[in-house]
Amino acid sequence: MANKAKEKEPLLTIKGLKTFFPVKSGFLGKVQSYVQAVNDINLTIYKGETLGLVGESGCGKTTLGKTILQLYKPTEGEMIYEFADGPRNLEKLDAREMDEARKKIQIVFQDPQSSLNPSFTIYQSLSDPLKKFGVKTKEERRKLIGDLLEAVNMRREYMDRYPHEFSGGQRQRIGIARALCINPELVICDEAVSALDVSIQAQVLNLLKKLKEERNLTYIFITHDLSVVEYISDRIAVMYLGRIVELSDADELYHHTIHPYTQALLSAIPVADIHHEKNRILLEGDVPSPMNPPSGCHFHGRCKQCQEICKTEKPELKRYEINGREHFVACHFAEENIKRVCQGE
Amino acid sequence: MSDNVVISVKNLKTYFYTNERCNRAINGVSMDIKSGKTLCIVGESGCGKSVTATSIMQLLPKLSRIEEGEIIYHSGDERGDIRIHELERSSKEMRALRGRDIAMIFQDPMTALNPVYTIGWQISEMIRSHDKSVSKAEARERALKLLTDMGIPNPQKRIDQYPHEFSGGMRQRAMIAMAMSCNPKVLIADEPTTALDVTIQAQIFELMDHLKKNYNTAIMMITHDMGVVCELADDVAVMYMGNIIESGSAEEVLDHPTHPYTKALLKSIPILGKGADQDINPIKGSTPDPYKRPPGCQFEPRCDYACEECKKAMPDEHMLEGTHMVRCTRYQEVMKDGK
Amino acid sequence: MSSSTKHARLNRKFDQIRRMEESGELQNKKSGNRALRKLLHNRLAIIGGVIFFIILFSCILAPVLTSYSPKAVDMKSILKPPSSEHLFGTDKIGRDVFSRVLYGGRMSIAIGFGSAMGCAIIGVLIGCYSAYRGGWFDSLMVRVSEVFMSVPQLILVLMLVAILGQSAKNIVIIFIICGWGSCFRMARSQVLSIREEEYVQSLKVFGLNPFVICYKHILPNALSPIIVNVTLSTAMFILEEAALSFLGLGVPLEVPTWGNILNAAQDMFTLQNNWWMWLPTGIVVSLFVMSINFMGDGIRDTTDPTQQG
Repeated sequence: MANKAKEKEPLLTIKGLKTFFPVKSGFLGKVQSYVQAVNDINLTIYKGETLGLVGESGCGKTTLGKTILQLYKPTEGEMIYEFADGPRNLEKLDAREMDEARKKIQIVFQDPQSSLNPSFTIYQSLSDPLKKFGVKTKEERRKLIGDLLEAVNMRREYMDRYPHEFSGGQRQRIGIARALCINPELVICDEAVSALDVSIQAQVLNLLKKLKEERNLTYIFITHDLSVVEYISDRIAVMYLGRIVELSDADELYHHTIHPYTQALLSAIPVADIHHEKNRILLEGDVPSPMNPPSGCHFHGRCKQCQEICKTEKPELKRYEINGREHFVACHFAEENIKRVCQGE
Repeated sequence: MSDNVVISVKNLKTYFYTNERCNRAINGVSMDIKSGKTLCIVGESGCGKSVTATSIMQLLPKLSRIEEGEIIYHSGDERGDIRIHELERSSKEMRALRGRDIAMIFQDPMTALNPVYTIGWQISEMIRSHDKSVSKAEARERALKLLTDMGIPNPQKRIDQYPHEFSGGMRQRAMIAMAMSCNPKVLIADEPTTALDVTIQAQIFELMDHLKKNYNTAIMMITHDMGVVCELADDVAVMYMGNIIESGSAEEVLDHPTHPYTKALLKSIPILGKGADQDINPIKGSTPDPYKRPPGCQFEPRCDYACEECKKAMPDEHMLEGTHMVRCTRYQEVMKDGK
Repeated sequence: MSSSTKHARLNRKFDQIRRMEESGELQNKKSGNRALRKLLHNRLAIIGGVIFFIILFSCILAPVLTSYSPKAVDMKSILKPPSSEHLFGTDKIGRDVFSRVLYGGRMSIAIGFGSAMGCAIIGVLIGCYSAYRGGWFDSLMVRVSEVFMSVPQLILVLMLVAILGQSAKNIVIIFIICGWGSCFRMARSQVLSIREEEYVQSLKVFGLNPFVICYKHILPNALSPIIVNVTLSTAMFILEEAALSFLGLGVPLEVPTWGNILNAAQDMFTLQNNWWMWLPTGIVVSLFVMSINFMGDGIRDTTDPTQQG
């Protein structure tokens, strides 16, 4: 399983990305403030890896995914994708190049109830995208859709059924088939298993893993469930209020947790193991609103290590090395925390 | 911590009659809710766990009814034992029970509070509707004390605010405050933290622990998350397709799962800290159509231990050590495999 | 019915369903179309449907049901009360009222339904795209529709009648001009909520043409309240046409419509002495409109997901 992208070829490089949504008020719609959903993200996604993007509600992970897909327009920053003929900024593409980009990047959605058009059969739903991307004849399309359904462990005949005849897990698998229908390279899974029953989650997770191996895919796996993300990801990025606070290899994150927010997050998760020792770090208060993020470090209001510098200066995401492995942390006290955690073992 | 049984449910059957069909949502469920302890009902969607709660509260929809079985509330005062299953849904006795003796909190804090009244007003109304002798000022005092007790910061300001000014976690606390306002003996929580962030969820768990210790409340918690069960439960009941297929104390069930479904469920969940190489095995097949149920044991089509016996009838309850109960004909092999 | 008898009835029904389920009778029964079943259980909707179709088919089959022409003047039998020859009597110039009601019904229903469909088509086409596109285009269209909706219909009728003259076609045009706004609003609000569904987002990710997404993929899901609206609007437009024609502003008097027939009953003498000239027509119009309303309510109840059944 350890397909940790040893070649480390970057597929998508994100620099200084910001997505702000203006909040208009007043009669003339004057812009009053901004919802700072994605607030200066620097991230590189390598070919063949699964990058887990975790955080609680309001942290901006879904907005980041949708900005990459061009569903939202970024306010600042670049997203540079490695096409076959060289790297290009996703935002600056013209119409024909956009179609090229659309072939490469796809998405699997969260809600199996609304992810399929209730008035169309599966074949009808998938026909239009296929028609657009060059699958001209009906026979070709039927064969392709049939193959896709079999790849997600469903029967070919299901393409003539309506969504309401399927269960949640089956609909999610159809959503995955749809994402794969034009052979993308990068698939963004936006909470793809969160709405499913626990035993179905396992089916879909294993399916995603299998498809990744078979088709050489790269995943960005967005979720709030850390147990799931640990199982499926190579690297994990933890987001808080629009910024990445910690980024490292998956097992590193659990063995050497550096950022105070990640520590609280991990300790808060109920573990499905009766012998697990509970020592919850309780955070005070609630997640602040992305409309008025705190100054300096966004986490300073709830952090037990908060000092004066945290209130004024924004900590940058810096690269550290722990036992020879890369570990990025955005905290003024990263080095002390690293020393403490490494000594503790 | 006393071990008194506050609500005993015996062989409860609740059937739904929508679409001119009969859906046996719960088909013979027995459990005891004890004061000062948390009973977790765990199962996947469609297993009937929420129906158990609504049956106890007599809040079932119009096209359904309790067919058989008993729900007895041991009030511990001059009213004696109250037979809930015999009460009418909107009768005076039932309405007196709801809120004062048995309270319920729901999953979605966004929609569970009335948006046009302040929190203080809603809690006071709850208090005064159950005890006519309480004055408005007194009710407000009690509401203030409750909000403080439930950990809502700045309660003097918050008591006059509307639900939309609260965040999700605080709304859930406000709902718990409302539920606890008349000091009920039993608190039924239907997936109270599913819609909340993990860090907020942790806060709510601390709150529930506090309720258990300080008020000796009996808590019945419905959830689908095994992690929550491991954290909170004293007793566990695992439900599948309308039956409790395994129950007992938390250690008994989670340490020595004896029913194939419980075992399979525990094996299919990725556990935090075990890394990417852990084996998660999905349960084969899918939950059957409630109108086309298997003739015998409900889990038989998906079970690795299924045999001919299993197709004949739903297995009886077998008592193992202590309070550990399992409904499986081949539980002995399952136990042997577990060792 | 007291609550305990209702209760007992419900209990008996439950017992029966349970017996049937346990004996396996219900296993092979196809769940059928729940919407249709609910509709058939709604007594008012059935009654409405029956009356509606009786009146509709009577009007369509007018030549079969009456041998008189609605325009045939017969000065020998003016103002005759109902008899076996003239079912509804005759009017001031000897025309058979019954045949006027039947042929008039054709025109009234055609005007009502035509206007409702016209409003629906324009409202839906514009509303769908406007809601999907959002932004300044949407704001602009909403304002435009508000302007159209706020025009007082009577003034517009007077102006257009003065400029273009009276005709059935002009009435339909006027109704559509005044009425497309409400259908626009309805379609728009439906599409606004469907727009956020994930399957629409997925089509956007595929980069499909916005018109294709809007009209081919979203529109079929937005139709059910619009269909109900068309039924209820038909009733409304029939009444409006009747009112306008009664005032003499609608369809020219030679063409029989229900309103035109009622036009004759504008004075007290006719009202008191020649009741057959206005009462049967009035009853037919009322019954028809009521039946449409019942049916529309029934259809709306079946498509309402919150109702149990």
